[in-house]
Amino acid sequence: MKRGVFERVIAPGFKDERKVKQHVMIIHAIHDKHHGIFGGSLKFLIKTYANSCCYLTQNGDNGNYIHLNFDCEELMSQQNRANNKSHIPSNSILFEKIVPAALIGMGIVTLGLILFAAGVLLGIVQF
Amino acid sequence: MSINQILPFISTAVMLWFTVDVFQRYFVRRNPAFLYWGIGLAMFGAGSFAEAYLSLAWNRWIFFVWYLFGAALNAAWLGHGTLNLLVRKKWVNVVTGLLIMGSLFAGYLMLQAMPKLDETVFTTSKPVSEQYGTKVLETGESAPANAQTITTTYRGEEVTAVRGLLPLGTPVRLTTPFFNIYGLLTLVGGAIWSAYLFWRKRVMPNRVIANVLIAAGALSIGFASTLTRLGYGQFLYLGELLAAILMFIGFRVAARPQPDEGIVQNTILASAD
Repeated sequence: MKRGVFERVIAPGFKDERKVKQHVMIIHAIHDKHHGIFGGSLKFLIKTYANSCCYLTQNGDNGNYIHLNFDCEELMSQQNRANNKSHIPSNSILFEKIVPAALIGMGIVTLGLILFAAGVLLGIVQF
Repeated sequence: MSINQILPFISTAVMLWFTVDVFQRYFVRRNPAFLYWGIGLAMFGAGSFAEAYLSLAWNRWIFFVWYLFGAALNAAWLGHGTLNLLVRKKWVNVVTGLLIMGSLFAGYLMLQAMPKLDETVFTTSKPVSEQYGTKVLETGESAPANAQTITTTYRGEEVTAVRGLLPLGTPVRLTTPFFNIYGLLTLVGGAIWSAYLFWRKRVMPNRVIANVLIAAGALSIGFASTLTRLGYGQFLYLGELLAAILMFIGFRVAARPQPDEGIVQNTILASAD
């Protein structure tokens, strides 16, 4: 599993995180007397990833560690779904024909306008 | 009220909304690009408001605002925002300094021009964009209907000119092409370049569309301004409204959160550098 997936689950209050094996991440939590063992940070973390791909399996012996177990297949499929939304669809007339034509056309018009403004500066175009 | 009196009011409202939106984003993210965009949009909005006002009545200081912010400076500040968004180098700070000094200098030149304004030619029946400049008539060219002409000596020659609010050879008018060339290059060029980068990488379709809209909006005002300089000022307000709407939609589309946006954008920026 990519480390990038884990990087974004660090919540405020957690000191560091280590991946011990493919499916499990250990997070070193800062002890918070006022809000229980892991305080609001754990709640935030679980809430952020409160879906089928992440579940808490074990508290550390001294209460300062948690193990988060990740369902890799589910995580990867979620990531793939997200990636598909942020990619240009293939065989799209808009992106294959219209956008390139618009970019070229606008580039030519921009050049024309700049030449015109330069003409004003050089006194070729009267103002 | 004619359509040319209504359009600037609509543009002003759109620009006000747009400006507030961009400044809000600046206060959240503290990205200077949004600050420069906000300043440029505020200038654009002030110019639109001045046009709206001047379609109803004359005020020399409103004209000052219209020319300095609406005609001269706003495109450059908007473009500078785009430059800050695309390039994270130290030389951009030098350009910022030059832009500030250039803007102050243009303001100074505009102040110098104020006592020389030919206010007697002003009429609310025509858009201010059609009457701000004195234009020399070429040989064989006839003056438009109802235009007031003057015969004067200009650059050592006797010429006939259509009278305008700013007399012939007013120095502040020489500064506008500099600002507008810079604004056009950075705003439109930057938007086209960004759209091309995202399109080439086949990522973030919303940014591709957003940048196309921003470029189209900026071009519509650039095109309308050029037509104004050629004596067809009646299209300026329509161009402004189109620019305001297209750029606002583009900005909103670009700002819409997308999955994995941060990762993709960082990759694009890294490849752009």
